[in-house]
Amino acid sequence: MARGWAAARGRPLSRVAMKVMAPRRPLPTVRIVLWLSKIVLVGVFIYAAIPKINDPRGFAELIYRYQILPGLLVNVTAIYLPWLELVAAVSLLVPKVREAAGLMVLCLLAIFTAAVGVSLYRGLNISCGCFSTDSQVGAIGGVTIVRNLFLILMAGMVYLADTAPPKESERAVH
Amino acid sequence: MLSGIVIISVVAIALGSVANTFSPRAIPWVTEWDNKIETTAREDGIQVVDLEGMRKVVEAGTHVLLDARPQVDYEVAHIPGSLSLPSTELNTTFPQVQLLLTAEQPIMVYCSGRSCTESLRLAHFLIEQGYSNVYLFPGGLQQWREAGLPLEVGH
Repeated sequence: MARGWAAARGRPLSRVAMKVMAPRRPLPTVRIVLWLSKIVLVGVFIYAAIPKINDPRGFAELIYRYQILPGLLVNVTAIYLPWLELVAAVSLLVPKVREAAGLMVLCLLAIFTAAVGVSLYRGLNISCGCFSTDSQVGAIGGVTIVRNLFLILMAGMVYLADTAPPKESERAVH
Repeated sequence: MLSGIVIISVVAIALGSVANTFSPRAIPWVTEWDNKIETTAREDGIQVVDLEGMRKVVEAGTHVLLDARPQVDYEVAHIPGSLSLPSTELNTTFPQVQLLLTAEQPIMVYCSGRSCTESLRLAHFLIEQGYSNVYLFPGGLQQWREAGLPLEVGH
């Protein structure tokens, strides 16, 4: 609009005005961090989902040990949760659904972290079930919480970047 | 956004349903988990003992008590008089415990509580080894502790 107005008046735009009105894209470093975060999230979620898909019985046992869900919901959760992790992670790379995928990944991480936190508070000594269905591997602890918070931070950045509205100048150009 | 969530959920549910219908590792859609350990133990011929029965056994000293949890958990707290025999380290620890057992010796196994499976695994192992008097306390250390009964710490 401004560019058109100046041009209509026959005045060339100054270099400063051109710079101000140029579409604002995230800095290259920020874009790299966002992409790396997305790739890490996709990798972590796929890595976490595969052992659970391969061993639903073992995963069901780990879910039961958390003592959060009613017994009747344990198997259904063990059957569907790993697939939800897998599909949501892959969907982060699909432009049409990446916003929804980002929100789902964020919610899943928040739920997992809450479950671990509650279990630690209750004094349960159980396996996390994060990347393995072996009940003797990866006991929950403060490290699990910190790792999940780091992943939540990455997922939050990715989600905000994917849902951010285009800048005014970008809209004008498009 | 909402349509994306619906699409992802439907795809995940479809894949999960197909996988659990055709996979050789499929599990029942619903299992009664709350009594699973106890039910399985009874079905497999293992004698199940409640808290009162366990208290009597500990007082009388008639059974060899085996704690099936990892060694580190055993050292934090265990039921008085019990020995550590982690169900995951049977190859290394069982030969030492074996010296104390005879085929007819009553053996009581337990783990952390109703949601653990180590005691059931240990009971199965002992039966396979030829021990006929294997008992299981499904309430485990959690029920024992909640009842305010004494605990031992360390080795």
